[in-house]
Amino acid sequence: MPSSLARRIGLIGVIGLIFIAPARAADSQLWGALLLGTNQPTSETPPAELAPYQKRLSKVFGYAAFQVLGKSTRAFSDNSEQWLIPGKTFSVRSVVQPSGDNYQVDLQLFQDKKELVQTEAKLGPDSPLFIRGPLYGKGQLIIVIMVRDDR
Amino acid sequence: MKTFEERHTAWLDGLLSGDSLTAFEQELIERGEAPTDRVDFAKFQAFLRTHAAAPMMDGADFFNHQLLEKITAPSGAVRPVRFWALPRLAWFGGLSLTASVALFLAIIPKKSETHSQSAYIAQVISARSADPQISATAFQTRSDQPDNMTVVWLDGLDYVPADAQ
Repeated sequence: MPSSLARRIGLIGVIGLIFIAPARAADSQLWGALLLGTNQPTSETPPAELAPYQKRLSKVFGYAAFQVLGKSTRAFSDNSEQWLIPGKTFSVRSVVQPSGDNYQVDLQLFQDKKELVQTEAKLGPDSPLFIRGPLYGKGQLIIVIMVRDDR
Repeated sequence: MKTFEERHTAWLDGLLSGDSLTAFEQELIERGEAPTDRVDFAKFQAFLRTHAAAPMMDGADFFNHQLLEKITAPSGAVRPVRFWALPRLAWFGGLSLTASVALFLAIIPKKSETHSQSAYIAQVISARSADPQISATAFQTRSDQPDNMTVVWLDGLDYVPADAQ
């Protein structure tokens, strides 16, 4: 086989690897939502990410229905700072670092400019962390943080 | 001094004469062999020359030409290449392997198991608030059950009016 053909095949392989690697790295996203738990009946269905947790939310927080007030999604790269703004007055500063099959997540939850809590957590893919926020109207605000991994 | 075989050959060919011939025939008698063998050999030789002549070949020039080509052909002469020759098979195998690996990486979901609810992993290592009025507590509900969830529970937060969000 001519050596020029071998060089062409090698070049195609290298180009393929270059395109495959970033595609995998960009598959991870940080997802956040601001939920309002109330005991008022609502026709709104929870987002697909939280559908499996509907019953558990009711048990833990004591509310019958949950509606989404806001959502935010950010693609992240290792150790870079990301800001999620799921609601008008709530924002989350996050730094995510892959740790084996899971993620090491540093979070700071702000209400306006006031830091409510700083937490460090280990999250698996598609495993939400729930933060009980303040009372709101006739219900309770809940902030949800999750790493979505579509790999 | 010639050996017996050499002198025997010369005797059969009729090359001995005089004293040499007499002495050799005397030696044959002493060895128990009859000198008349020479006469039989001469008859046999004449028979072969008469009846056992080599047959003549047809196309002798063509045969010689073919023989000469085989002798003079270079050892590294070009041979016809088969389609499934070994180098081509090796390249085909290498390309197939590369394509298989690429398809595996691109198509097969690597972490399909972790997408199930049983793979819920959320561990709070630390949770603290800079505001002394706020207490932060982390807990996990029913960690041994499939329907567990991890919550950071904040107490001491101010009430938010309904129109603030």
